Amino acid sequence: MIAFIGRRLLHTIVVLVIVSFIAFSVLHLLPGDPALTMLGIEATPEQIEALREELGLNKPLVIQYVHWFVNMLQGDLGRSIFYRESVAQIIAARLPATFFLGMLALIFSVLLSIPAGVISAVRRGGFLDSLTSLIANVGVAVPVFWLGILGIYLFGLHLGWLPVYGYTSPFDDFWLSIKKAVMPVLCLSVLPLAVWTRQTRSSMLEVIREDYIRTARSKGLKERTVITRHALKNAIIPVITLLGLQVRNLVGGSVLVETVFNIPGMGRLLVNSVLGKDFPVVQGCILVIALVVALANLVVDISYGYFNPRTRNE
Amino acid sequence: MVQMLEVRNLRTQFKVDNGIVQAVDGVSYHIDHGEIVGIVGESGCGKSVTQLSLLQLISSPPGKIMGGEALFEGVDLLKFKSDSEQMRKIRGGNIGIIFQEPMTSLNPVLTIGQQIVESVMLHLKMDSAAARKHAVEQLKLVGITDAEQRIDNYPHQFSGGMRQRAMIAMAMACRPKLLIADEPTTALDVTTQAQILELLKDTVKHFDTSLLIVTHNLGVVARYAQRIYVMYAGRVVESGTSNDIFANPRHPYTIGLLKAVPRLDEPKGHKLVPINGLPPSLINRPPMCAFLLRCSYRTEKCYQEPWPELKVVDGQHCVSCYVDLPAKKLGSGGNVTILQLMNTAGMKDPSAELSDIVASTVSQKDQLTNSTYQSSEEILLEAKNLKMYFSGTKGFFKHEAAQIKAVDDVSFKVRKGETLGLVGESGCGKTTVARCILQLYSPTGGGIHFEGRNILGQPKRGLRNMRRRVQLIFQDPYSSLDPRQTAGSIIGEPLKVHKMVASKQEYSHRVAELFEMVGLDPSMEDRVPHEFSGGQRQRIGIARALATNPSLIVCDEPISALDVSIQAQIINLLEELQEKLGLTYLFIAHDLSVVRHISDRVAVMYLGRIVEITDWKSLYENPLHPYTKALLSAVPIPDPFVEEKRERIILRGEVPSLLNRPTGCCFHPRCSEAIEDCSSIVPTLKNVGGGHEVACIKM
Ligand SMILES: Nc1ncnc2c1ncn2[C@@H]1O[C@H](COP(=O)(O)OP(=O)(O)O)[C@@H](O)[C@H]1O
Ligand code: SF4
Ligand code: SF4
Ligand SMILES: [Mg+2]
Repeated sequence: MIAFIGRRLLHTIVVLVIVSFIAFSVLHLLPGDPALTMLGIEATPEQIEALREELGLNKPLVIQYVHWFVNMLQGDLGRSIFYRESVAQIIAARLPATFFLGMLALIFSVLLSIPAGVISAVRRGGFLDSLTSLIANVGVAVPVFWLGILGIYLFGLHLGWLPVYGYTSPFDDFWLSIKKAVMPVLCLSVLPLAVWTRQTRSSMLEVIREDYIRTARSKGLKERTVITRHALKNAIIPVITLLGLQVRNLVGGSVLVETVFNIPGMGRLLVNSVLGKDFPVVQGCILVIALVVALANLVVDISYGYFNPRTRNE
Repeated sequence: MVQMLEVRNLRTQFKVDNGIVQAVDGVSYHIDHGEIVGIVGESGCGKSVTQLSLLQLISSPPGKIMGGEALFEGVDLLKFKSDSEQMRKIRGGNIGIIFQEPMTSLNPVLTIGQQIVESVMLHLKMDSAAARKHAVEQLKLVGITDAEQRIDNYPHQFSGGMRQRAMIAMAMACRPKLLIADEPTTALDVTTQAQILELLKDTVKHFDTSLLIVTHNLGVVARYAQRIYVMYAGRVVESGTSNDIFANPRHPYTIGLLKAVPRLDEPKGHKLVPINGLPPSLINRPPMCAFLLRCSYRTEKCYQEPWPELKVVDGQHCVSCYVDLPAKKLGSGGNVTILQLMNTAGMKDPSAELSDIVASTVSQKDQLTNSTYQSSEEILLEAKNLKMYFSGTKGFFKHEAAQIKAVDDVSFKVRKGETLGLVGESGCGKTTVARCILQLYSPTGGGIHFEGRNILGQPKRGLRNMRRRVQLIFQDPYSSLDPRQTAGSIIGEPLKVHKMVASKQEYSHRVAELFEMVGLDPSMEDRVPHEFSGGQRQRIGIARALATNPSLIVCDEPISALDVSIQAQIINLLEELQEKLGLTYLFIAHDLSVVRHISDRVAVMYLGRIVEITDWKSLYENPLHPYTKALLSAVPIPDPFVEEKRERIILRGEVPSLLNRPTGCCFHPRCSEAIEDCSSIVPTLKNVGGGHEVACIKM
């Protein structure tokens, strides 16, 4: 098991190095002079030269990369062109909001989708199953921003139950924070909820037909034990692999949700800095997102090994 | 007196898209304390559904128990709800059940221990520590060594035989009064099969449990069962004591089954008498006797009346048939075979005449090959010191590189027109040899001479002709045919690949000819594989192999996936084709009775080496290698008289891993005749006279 975790860890590091390289190249893959691109055509040659110097663009590429990489390891991601602040600081200020909402969405969708999937599989063809399937199918298809705007109109402006936008840290004002989080989290959860429910359901349906489920029943176990202990433990395995995938989708979702609900998080930061050609920030965002996704995948891989003894090498 | 279990008129059906499957159609049987009872029938005849119904384990929907009673100690189990307290007490607590597939019947994500312990805690009300101790004892009882450690293993760390042992431990852990074993050995090797059956018998005796063995193999029940029920198409068609069924079968189906299987103890040279046709579909079945279309005794009445009731004919012997076939008592001497019995009884049998004719030709051929062994007949295929090594890893961290010697110095000759049988437990390298001959692997060393030329190390171009001349028939007729291709194009493909036809007409003419050759109607050429039955698919596979006019056909377990009554049809077809086309076969199988029936010479393999090779007669009548003797002794013979008298060698343990090949004679850890030297001296094949070669230092 230790060896297994070690291997996965190594794998993660390799992926991160590759991503760092891609993030670095963002600046250089674009046609034209990055400094010019950033400053726009009205910039004077002096301004351009100053920026080139600041970005270290006058040195050879390899040196630039190594330099950048070493700085990055020390937590120095450069300075934002737009905000005139350290990128690390900017990200540190935005990350909590995204992380908080993302985690809530993740927990909420896991806790709801797996039981929903199990129940609809067990009551296959029944009313609950049909209802869940319908909701799940709608959930996959409905656009998140549309849902967000609808929510703002209905619960925010029309009914006035919930605040319409913004973000408050749970450490500042817990209740307000939760109230503000409700709609964004629901919007973020729609897709993973729908996907996991469907996946759990189909995975369960397959497992329930297996011979070992019949064996479990033949031992006189309660149906509930058969389902939770024997079936779910097997059915969950393919669902776990999808978890890693959904973390990536959550990142994508947060871009939309943060824009709609005007939340100062990573998603919006990324969009704004791409639009504003604030390349150091873009690089920083890509790195952080890659790190989060890679860590999520690492956790998924390790728990996969835990749930599936066949992948554990003895 | 109240029986332990009495099933009365059980009926179970499944709703499917195109109708209703009447899977169990009024089945009644009983089993008493301490009895061993067998239920026999081909796959799909409802044996399993019957057992699952009485335990209320059938999936519903689509399954539904339509009626009947299942009285367990006088209480009707079918009155209880499936998930009710009472039903759950019966399941696992009073009735244990073992399923056919040891590979899929254990939960892959729970340890063996967890799976035994949970049922012990439930039924015997033990705490988890006591239950674990109990589970370890159970595992020891079923012969799992190092049970204390093994209990924490997951199923994938167990071999097939061990998993079935674990299943038995699990089913017996709560001391049920009745154990139902549904095809407990079907997926296992003969030697493991013998071990498991002995274990079952000893275990039920030890705990005074009744045992119900469900199987399609008549031999299995002959050795152990006191009473037998024969099922066909969802009904019991004949029942009685083991004696009644084997010595005096009265239902045409039972008689047919007994004639269709080759036996170790019958005179060779007669042709098998298959049951013609296919088992009926159980969907919307007409009301007449379901055996009607395959029955050679049918009369006018059988067409007009509904399926006959099961009637007592003699003592406990019951038969469901309108025709009263003559009862013929068999003396307890018992080496008269059923076939001879039938012939002396003068039963009319349309295929008898045919089989007589073939029998005489076959025996002529026997004499021919027997007398020509020493003579220099043309050798078609020769393997010379063939070696096939794979690389692998071993050790705790899989760090050590290791060589897997799957085939290690194997030599044999196959003469033109003969059949060489290749037998051995699974994992002994039989299929690897076949794949080397077909050039699917490139051997590590040695030579393969085909028609006098060494084909190893030849450039690919030179092999083209050889590839055409050597063909393969696969084991699994389901996965070896492309499901999207039509039967016609499957069979015709090799003709195109090898450019064997000049025109379109010639092509279609040849395809039609091939269809007829294997007994298929050429008008079926546009159908796709799933529209054919298993036996018909195997015919398609044979036709495909024949398309290129091969001289050698490698048959890798060609019939083991087929039903008993169909197996005989395919064996007969192979024999006919051999005679007509002068084919040579390398016939790989684990069923020693079939190999005996079809082979001229037989080679026995163990751990990648040939341990004995000779003509069939010497091998079966005078086996010399202890492994051969053990294999033969493990084959059940469908005749209780013979079984009673047979000396039995139960082979210990399992085939060791090729990575840890035992030193000296690699068979020595399991050999009953081993002496001290066996663990150090590697025996080589020695000719002990008449071309009979054995690899044992005691020879
Ligand atoms: N779940 C199911 N749905 C539809 N038909 C089924 C189902 N299970 C079994 N059957 C049908 O019931 C019949 C008897 O099956 P089974 O008892 O498994 O046969 P056996 O054990 O004798 O091989 C077969 O025709 C099979 O196709
Ligand atoms: S009832 Fe008729 S068709 Fe059926 S088995 Fe008897 S003789 Fe054959
Ligand atoms: S050499 Fe020894 S161990 Fe091997 S088969 Fe002969 S007697 Fe048995
Ligand atoms: Mg079955």
